Amino acid sequence: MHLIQAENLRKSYTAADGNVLPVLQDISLAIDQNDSVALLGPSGCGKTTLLHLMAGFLQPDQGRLYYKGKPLGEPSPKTGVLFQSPTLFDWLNVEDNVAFGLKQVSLPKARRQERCADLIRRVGLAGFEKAYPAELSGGMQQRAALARILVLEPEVLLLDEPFGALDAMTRRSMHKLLIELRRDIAVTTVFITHDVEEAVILAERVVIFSQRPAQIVGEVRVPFTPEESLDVDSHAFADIKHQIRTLLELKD
Amino acid sequence: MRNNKRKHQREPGKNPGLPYLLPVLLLLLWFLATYFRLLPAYLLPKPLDTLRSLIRFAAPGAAGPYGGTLWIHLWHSLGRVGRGFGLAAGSGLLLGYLCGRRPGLNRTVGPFVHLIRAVPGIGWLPLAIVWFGVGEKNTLFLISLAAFFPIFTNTVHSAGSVSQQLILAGQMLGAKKTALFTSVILPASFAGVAVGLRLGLGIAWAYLVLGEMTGVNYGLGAVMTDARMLGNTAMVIVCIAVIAIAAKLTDSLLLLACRFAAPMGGKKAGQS
Repeated sequence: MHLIQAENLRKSYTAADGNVLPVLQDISLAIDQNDSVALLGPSGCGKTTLLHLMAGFLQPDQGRLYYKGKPLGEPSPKTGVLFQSPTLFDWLNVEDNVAFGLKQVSLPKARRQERCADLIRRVGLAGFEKAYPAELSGGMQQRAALARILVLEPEVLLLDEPFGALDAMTRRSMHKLLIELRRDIAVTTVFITHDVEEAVILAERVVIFSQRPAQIVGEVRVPFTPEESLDVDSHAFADIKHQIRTLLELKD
Repeated sequence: MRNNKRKHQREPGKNPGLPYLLPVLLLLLWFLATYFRLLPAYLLPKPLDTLRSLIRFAAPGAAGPYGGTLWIHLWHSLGRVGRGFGLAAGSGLLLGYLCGRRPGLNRTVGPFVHLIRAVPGIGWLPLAIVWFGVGEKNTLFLISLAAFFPIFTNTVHSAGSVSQQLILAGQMLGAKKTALFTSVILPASFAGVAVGLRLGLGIAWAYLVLGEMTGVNYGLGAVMTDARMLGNTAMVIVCIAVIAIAAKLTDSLLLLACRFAAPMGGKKAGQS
């Protein structure tokens, strides 16, 4: 049984002028426990829509989506979503943002604080517990958003191009952080990107999408360990990148 | 350290005396105008005479027609503002949040509310007098009706513009219905709602005076009307000053309450 299984998903939007815009066309995809999957495709191809379907934010027009063999339900902390923008609660400080999800379930205060402190430390925000989101840099905000999700021990982590707006150095440190976190925390990871290099660094499976309406054109397995994949200058890395680019039809 | 401090004070717009500049200037002008008798005393009494009226008005047991009665009048006025504003805030927030989060309801209720809003508050006075007679109920009606609109309008707008992604984030983190409202929608919309409440409170004071002028026994508006009819301009000015100060104090109190309720949201509301 797959953790997430999509069968012939179709989704379209109706534009303001009444035109129906197909976004996803017959998407079938299976994701297993502890997979690390990148959904790679050109900007605006409909990857975010697929992610939102997996999160339970949207319903497909056609096709089925299963979670552990059962129809996928409403948004829940089992499936954490890291958005493109951090989407922190700007009236709460880092500590309270991280504690938000745990406050929705009954958990002794001491236990809650312990888990929050642990996650804040792991994402490298120790010392910033009392800072408000507006006082943090973009990278730090995404770290807080990541802690806010991981503190709930999700089974799946969906990432919607969360590092797209960051500068190259911050991005690299976020990649390292994610690889490090995945070593300690078992979580199935699905993330969206239009950056081939980022896909190879972070994923074991790179699923490649066409232009909108998105269709899956192929899949490439990355044979590196997470640590090896950080070595973006190696020949093996270049080979994989080339292989993916060929599928994307943007050979250069 | 000292250097820093001096630099800070010189920063443009940071001088603590700035808010007092205009009032002091106005007072000076007032002094000069009466000193040189530019205006007759029945139009503009002397500042010192006005101050004496204020002191007599405020001092318990003082002689004269208004001697020592400030506090009882103020108490009644505050009560009316409190009740009227409370009624407006209660209904404005409730209906505002419902309309803000339910587009269908907003399309049903919104246009009608704005149609009623288009009638200037004073336009309701004759009808209010017919319905409620002069005095207490009529004042309460005018205050709560007028204060309702800014509260409602701001609440609808703020509740409606909470970002969809923020709500999705709340749901994804496990907040359901009530929790989603109290922990995401309410704080996210708070700054705008607080602005509406402040506007509403200001309007409540404006309509208090209008309502009290129609005939109540106690209240600052009643004193004003009485003093005007007796040609006691100094008392009219005293009442204006008392209302200004009381309204400012209640506004500060409201702002303080907002900041207490939501430290980050309240800060934004205070910028207006």
